[in-house]
Amino acid sequence: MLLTALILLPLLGAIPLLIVRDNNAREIKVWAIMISVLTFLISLPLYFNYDPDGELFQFVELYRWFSLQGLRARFSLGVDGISALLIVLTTFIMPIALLGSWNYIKDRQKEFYLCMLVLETAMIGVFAAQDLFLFFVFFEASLIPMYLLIGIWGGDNCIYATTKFVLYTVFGSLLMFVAILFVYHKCGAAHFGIAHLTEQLAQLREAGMLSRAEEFWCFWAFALAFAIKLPLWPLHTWLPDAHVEAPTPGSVVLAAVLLKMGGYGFLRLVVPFFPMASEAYAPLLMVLCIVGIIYGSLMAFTQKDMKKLIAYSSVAHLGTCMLGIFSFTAVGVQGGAYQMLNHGISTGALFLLVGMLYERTHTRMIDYYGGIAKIVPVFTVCFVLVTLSSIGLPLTNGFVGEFTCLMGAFQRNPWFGVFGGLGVVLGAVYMLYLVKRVFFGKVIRQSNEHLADIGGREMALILPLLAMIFVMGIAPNPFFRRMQPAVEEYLRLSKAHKPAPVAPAPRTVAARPAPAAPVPVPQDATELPDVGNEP
Amino acid sequence: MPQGFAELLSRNAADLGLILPEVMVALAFIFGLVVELALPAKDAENAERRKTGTYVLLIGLLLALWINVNDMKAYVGSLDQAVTIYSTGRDGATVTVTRNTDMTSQDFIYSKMVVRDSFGTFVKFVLLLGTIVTVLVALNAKELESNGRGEFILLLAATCLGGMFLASSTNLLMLYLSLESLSIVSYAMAGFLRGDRKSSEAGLKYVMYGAMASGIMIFGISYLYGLTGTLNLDEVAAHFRGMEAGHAPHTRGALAAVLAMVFAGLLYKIAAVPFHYWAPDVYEGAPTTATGFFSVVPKAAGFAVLVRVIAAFFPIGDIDDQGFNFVTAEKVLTVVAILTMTIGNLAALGQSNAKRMLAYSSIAHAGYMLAGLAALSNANGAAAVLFYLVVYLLMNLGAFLVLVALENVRGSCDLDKLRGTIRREPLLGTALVIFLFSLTGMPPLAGFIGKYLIMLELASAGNWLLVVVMGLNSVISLYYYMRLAKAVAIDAPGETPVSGESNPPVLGVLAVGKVAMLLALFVWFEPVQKLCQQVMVPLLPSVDERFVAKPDAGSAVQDEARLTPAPSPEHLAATPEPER
Repeated sequence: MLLTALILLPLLGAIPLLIVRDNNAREIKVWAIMISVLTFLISLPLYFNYDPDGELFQFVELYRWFSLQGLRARFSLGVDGISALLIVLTTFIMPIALLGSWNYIKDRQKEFYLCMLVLETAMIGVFAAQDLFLFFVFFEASLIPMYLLIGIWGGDNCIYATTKFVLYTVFGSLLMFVAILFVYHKCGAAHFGIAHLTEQLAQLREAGMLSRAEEFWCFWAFALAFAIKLPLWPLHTWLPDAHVEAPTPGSVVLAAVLLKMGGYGFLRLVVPFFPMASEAYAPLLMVLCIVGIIYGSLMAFTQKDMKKLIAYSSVAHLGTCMLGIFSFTAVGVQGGAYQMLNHGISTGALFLLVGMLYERTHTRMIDYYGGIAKIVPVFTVCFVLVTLSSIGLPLTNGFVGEFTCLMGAFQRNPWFGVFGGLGVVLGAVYMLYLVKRVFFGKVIRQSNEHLADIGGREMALILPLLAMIFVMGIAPNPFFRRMQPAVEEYLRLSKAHKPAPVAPAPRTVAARPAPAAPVPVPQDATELPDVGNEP
Repeated sequence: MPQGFAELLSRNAADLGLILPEVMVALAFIFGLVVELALPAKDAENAERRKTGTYVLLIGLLLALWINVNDMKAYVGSLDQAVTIYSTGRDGATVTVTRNTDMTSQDFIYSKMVVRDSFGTFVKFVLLLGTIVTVLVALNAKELESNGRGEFILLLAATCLGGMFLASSTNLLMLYLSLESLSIVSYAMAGFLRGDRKSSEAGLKYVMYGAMASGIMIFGISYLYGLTGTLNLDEVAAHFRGMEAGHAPHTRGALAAVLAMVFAGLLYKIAAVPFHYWAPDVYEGAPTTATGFFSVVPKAAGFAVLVRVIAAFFPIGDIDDQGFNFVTAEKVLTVVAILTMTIGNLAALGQSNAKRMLAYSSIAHAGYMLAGLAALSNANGAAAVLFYLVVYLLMNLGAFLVLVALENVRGSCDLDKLRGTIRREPLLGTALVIFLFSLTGMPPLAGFIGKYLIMLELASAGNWLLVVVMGLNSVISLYYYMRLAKAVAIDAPGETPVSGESNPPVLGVLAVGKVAMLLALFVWFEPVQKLCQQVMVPLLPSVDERFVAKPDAGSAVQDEARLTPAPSPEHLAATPEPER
């Protein structure tokens, strides 16, 4: 019941907002924040009561939704360690984002809080769904509130940004939908359960019934949807636009949670469904990640707009995260999953802080600031701490995540590790350069001398995030331990096809004959040297 | 008086009871007309009296709906025992096939001119529902205020009557007559705004195109009669299949050409490419109320008769029928569906008038529904089309309802003029955004389920091309729906002068009701889907004819459990998990 309650609570909480007459009543904000805090409290058992030694999927719920002539989509919920943590991240970020919009959103507040609460329902649903159909429904449903959030409360060019965002995402997800139908038909599955489909696909592959071409087409249809969402270079172009135009709370949620759906999709669907194609295309995807890391970092370096800078840094950070996920090593995947949480917290915090500056001066241009460290010392301390987390200094969460991701990449192939590691260096460059230009040096504008320092409400927003940065940096083990079973399952599934030879670029389209006795075949020689798959 | 004639008369009188909904609508029309004429309203004070005729009509329509629902229940109930489900596969795809085992589920009336069956009653339900909603909208449309609202509403009922006969005709002559009666009333409705140039243009264009299309169709029908000696749909189709089988090879080409003419007339009615050119102009010029009505009710009737004709000529759901014409029909329908949805959507992209945009979008939706029919080898494809019709009725009529309301306030449907109307009409504006997202096919709205079911049945039939094209088309459509949603919900209000009056609450209630239905149909769509599959049963090839002697009849299963796809190994057999 816990997961259903989590999904329904924000939705039910949104209903009373519909009947409020006054569009900008203070009660609206209070009510919405109360609902989100309550959701967070209810979600805590997902962290505390998740037993890493127990079943992989816990808090399982299963209700019939429809079942006609053998076609079954079910309201099937459950969490493993990774999705449990992502749900808690969602419910954790949400009150902060809502409280962060206290002064920021002045127009049409009722609709704003309505959208945010509906969005929360959709996001929790995505991470909790264990049925592919249900997953898709929530995945798509998250678009409508986000479209409105960017479109109504966004900046000057928000229509362009929001249209681009929605069209990109829908393009990917509709192709994925076609692939979902194909997979469902191909394996003659009894229902849309994700685990069930994974199993059926594996059996189909083992029996030689899933032709290589079919697997690869489906792989790309799924991968495209999540690569756009993530976003992977070169599909990232919607992200800077969306971030710049989105209102601060929208940016926070977009960076902290919505992007994670992409990584989560790879972890939960793409690789377990199509391990053979994933293995074959992992080098290509890792190269794209590395290009994204370097490109994102360089682009971030040249930005004049702080939000755009952070948006590009997201491209780089998520590249690192995917590098870990595609390394197919225990360390790397752990790191990738951990990095998703980290990115949510530190980038969310960065957007929040930039939003606070924007509220004071109504500009996000870096040129406008300079030397404000003396004027707003506490704010500066907070910003620098978050920056350090973002660039991965030891004792902060960023260090744990990036280090493990890169270690995984290194184990797979040293070159990936080396080039991926460039991201850490470049990250330090552009973030510290940003801090230098904004906070240190001479005060270049008179008007800045009266900037107010961080207030009580804002402190309340940023403190939990700062606390999490250090908790996750100093004591990552509880988190790793919870993710461990899920990571092991992911690795098992990604290697399930291993007896079969794997070619990097499939030429043959015909169905493979059923494999004979499991003969261990080495990785293809044309590949870059492989340094063992196990840590 | 000869005795035979008296007998005939009494039998025909008894048959009247079998078309009670139609009789009810006709009576309502006549009484409404009489009341309308008897209580003339010369001045504004009498405007309220002017509505009396409408209320009479509305009561008649509701009665017809009630009778029809009872009919539908009876027919569907009789089918419960008549459904047998086979699972079998072509190209490795798993197909579930529904078969008709009961030949008594159809009542033929008037020398097999008209049929009464579950399919017909279902479509009539859709038509009546659409008409009743449109009548309520028309009562509150400002554009009709000084233009004889009463007559307009009566015309709606007359169109509906034509549609009801169209949906249940099994004779080509009856089909033609009801199509004409439907069309002629529509022409009058399109040109209803007498002072408006665009409306007159719309009426004239509609007449020209319509006359042309029905001319071609009746020409084709006359040849069909010449070739086969009968006008009964099933008998013509039987001849056709016999000839196709090689008994008369020289007439095969002629038959194909003639059939193309008949289909041209039908495709014209549902505005499928390449017979769609009339639609945008007519839809733009006609009163907005009429446009909403055109895009739903006559189209639903057109689809109903299209399904009937296709089912007669090409046994829907007969995956074993590999005949030349069957495969050709599948291909032709696929091509027409692809063209219709793509051209409709692409043309809608550049429109700056909401009415015209929705006109093109309704062409695209006709394409989606045609796609469902293109899954000929899968009986459930047509059922998915019926489901889509219901959803489409809700969302498209809903969108037009809001347009009427916004036009009341703003006086025009240009996107520029509609800017920011959500501030003026928060409820209706929000409803419009929801209708538009549903039209796109976004969850959690019924539009998604409608599209999903069609794509699913296409996938079952192995028509992946159409699945992909449908998916891509949804993306295109999203772009222009978002433009309209943006104009209404996001943009700041423009300079347009706003009329002081606000919209009557009944429009808001209707819109909210439709939104609720769309949400409900998303969650609980299964009963409706099941109903759609059941009402299709009388049109499917019967078991007695084709399946009793089939060697694979042994693989039939009686319940929902599905079999392993033909070539798969044993261990892939699905094992449904226990559910609670």
